[in-house]
Amino acid sequence: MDIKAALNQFSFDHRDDSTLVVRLSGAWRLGGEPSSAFLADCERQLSAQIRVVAFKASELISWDSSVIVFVVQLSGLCYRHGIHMDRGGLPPGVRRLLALAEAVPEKKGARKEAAKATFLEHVGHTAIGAGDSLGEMLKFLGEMAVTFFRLVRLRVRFRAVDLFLLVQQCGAQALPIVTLISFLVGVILAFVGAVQLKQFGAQIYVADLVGIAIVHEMGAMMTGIIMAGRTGAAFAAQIGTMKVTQEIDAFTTMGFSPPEFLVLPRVIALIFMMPLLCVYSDFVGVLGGATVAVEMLDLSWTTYIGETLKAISLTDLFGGVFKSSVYGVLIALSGCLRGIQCGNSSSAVGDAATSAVVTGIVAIVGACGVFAVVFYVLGI
Amino acid sequence: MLGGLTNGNQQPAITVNHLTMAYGSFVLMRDLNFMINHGDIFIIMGGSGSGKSTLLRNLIGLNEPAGGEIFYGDQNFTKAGLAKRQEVLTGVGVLFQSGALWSSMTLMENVGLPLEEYTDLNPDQIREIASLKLALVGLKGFEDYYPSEISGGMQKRAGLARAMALDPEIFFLTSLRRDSIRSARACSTI
Repeated sequence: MDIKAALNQFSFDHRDDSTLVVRLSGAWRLGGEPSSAFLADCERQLSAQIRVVAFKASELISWDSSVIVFVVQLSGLCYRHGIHMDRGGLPPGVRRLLALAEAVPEKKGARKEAAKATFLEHVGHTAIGAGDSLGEMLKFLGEMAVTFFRLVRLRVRFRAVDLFLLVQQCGAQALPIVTLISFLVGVILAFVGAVQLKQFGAQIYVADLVGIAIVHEMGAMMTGIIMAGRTGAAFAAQIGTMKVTQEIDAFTTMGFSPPEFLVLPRVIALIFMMPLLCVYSDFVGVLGGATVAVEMLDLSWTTYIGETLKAISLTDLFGGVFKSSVYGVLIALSGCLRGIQCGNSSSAVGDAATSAVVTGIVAIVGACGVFAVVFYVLGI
Repeated sequence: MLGGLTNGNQQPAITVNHLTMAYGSFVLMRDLNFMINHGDIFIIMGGSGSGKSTLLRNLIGLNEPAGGEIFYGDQNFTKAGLAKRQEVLTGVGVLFQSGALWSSMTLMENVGLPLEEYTDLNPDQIREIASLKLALVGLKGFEDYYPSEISGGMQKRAGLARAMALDPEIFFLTSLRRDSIRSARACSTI
């Protein structure tokens, strides 16, 4: 407190009736009393006779920006009162900095208006934004459709190395997390089922419950959600960063189409890796269910596996695998779409990754619903 | 540019007719007209925020002009389709502000990719040419480095090497420094 009080000291002198001298003394630091607090003091000193404000700085030991801010604020005050300010008494360094700060006049209209949008304006902006976003999405899907058409005719160009790297990233490297989640989902399903079925002495049907749920639905779905969070976000962040660093522009100007060169390998990688992950997830999920059944319900491994095999058909398995492949396309497309839409800052990359995960999961759940209806109608 | 090949050609390399550039409703520049002849070093100067980079983005088709036309030779670039544009752009080397190297590829792959795409050279020849281009910007020995492993200035020079990969007739360089001009000049006289 003492130290703070010793900083930023000034007093007033009257050279004659029309001149007010501001005497700066001691050390002036930004950490001291803020200069805005002094302005009221100064304003009180400005009586009707005062025509000139001058400075005396011979006792000023050291100074930093606090002096500049003070003088600038005082200068504004003088301007409003129609008083001339004589800066002759200020140290030369202060005068130079003031000249520099005033060298370029404020650009008219550049200052951002702190506009308060009304509720309706917000709604309108959001609606227009959503419309634009939908347009971009359709454009992207159109470009991808054209690219797929060229893929069918084998007229696409991307680097095989990129594809292999992506296959590794969204295939083998995803195994640990898929193992963990699938096993736990199997365990949870079996546990919930066991508690209920035990009451009827129908423990053995835990195998049916877990088998059908996992193979038909949960295997593909959980893999999809894991990959949306893991790989979809990564795609969005990679492509978003490439946009920020102008790498995408470089591709475009060199005649490489980003949908073809960047998006297509990612889609292909997920189309092929998702079914493999899904089958693996099915297997691990059933294993998780079996563990609970063997430990809790005293079923033997062979009984459990036998019952599971009776419950599920190959059609169930292929249905799930097919779904997972579609989820893969949705994850890759939503990740890449959000990456390509990414703005030009680091926070935009973060938003893109977040948005990719949300879009991916929404798309997966939506597709899951559609599949449920279609499979029901087809009687699968 | 390749002096020997095009000296007889009197047509300007780039013609800009009544170009208007805008971001949405905010018009940056209106009715811009200029010509760049073969062999010219054409410098666009201006305060920061005055639209130099935007002009460049319009010239290479990254932004669409709000009005007016851009010609490369007698080819109307503004009205050209995608394929035609790409053909024109293979004759153009662009150095972006911070190099914009593809971060997942080594310097060699960065410089080699356009060659792979637009020439029939075999991998060994591509490697040799890419090596030469990197040597021209003083990066011999850094072929197998990734962009993140070298300094910002080196990245920019590698970006220049990539821009020169296809021996383009036209160079666009953004925020250049003296050494980039020198390398580009040296390259354009081979």
